[in-house]
Amino acid sequence: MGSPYTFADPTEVGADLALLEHLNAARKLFLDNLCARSCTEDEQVLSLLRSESTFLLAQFFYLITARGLFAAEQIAQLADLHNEYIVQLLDDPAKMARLGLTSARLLDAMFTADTLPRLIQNWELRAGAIDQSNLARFLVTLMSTETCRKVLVACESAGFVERTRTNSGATVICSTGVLELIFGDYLRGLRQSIQ
Amino acid sequence: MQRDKFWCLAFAIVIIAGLSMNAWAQRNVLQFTAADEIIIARNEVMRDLRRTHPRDLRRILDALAFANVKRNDDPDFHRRPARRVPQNNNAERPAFDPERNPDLEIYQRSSPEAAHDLFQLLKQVRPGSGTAK
Repeated sequence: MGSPYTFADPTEVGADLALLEHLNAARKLFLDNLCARSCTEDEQVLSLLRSESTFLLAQFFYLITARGLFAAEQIAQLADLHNEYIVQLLDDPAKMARLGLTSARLLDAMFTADTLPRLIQNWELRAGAIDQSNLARFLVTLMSTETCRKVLVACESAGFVERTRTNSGATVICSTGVLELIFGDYLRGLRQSIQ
Repeated sequence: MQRDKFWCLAFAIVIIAGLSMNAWAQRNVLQFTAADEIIIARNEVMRDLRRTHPRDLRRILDALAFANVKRNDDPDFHRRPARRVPQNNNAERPAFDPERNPDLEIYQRSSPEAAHDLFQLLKQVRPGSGTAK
């Protein structure tokens, strides 16, 4: 971080305003693209697509693709890191309160001997395929399980994810790739507009 | 026979009186403060709940008061009110309109700190060169 902010230099303030304009325009374009590429015009679906939770879900899928995390050992490593992060959070009540989380909710979001094999198995069968409840575990600090489900249902209606019901009663999610591309467009457009 | 009828009638009167008292109690024992009234007035969902489920509304207001001190992101809290509010199938209305429910909007927000943490976690995973699907 530089020196404390002041409004003294009009050139600097002008540059800040230009950046703010680019940020807002990029975010607006992201939402416009989401709605334009949605398979449905149902207002309830579009309303959920415009939510912050959908932006965060798109970011998660984008990061998985951009980092090339398609191997089973990579998702297993991410699950281990996630569990370590949960343990750190449990030791930090101030941060838990800041993020609006309870210890019961965090414990529920840990990958256990029951849930981890299913995570790896789904990823092995199809890279990027993930049980809906496991996806909610990864996103525990970002949204509630119910919000995650609602956003995924909306994304399914929009054609952005496939939701497959398995024989065991679980719902497996797989991105169709559209969300990642829209998020990538948002990032690249923003970067190029600033440069 | 006459005596049985009398007791049946008396029993019915007691039941009806009890139910009436209960309804009256639900409406009158539940106290909403002036501060509550201001919040209720500006939130559409709360105005509906006041008519249909005043006790639930009391619990939501209490939870909101608690949340002003410390946010409570218990997933059950999200589920319960949503299930109890009658579903409106009017497609022109969003499922939840933050404009009409400003005090409940906090439960739709997320933390940039958490997004940053998740990004850092994903950065730590050894990058791959494979492609999806």
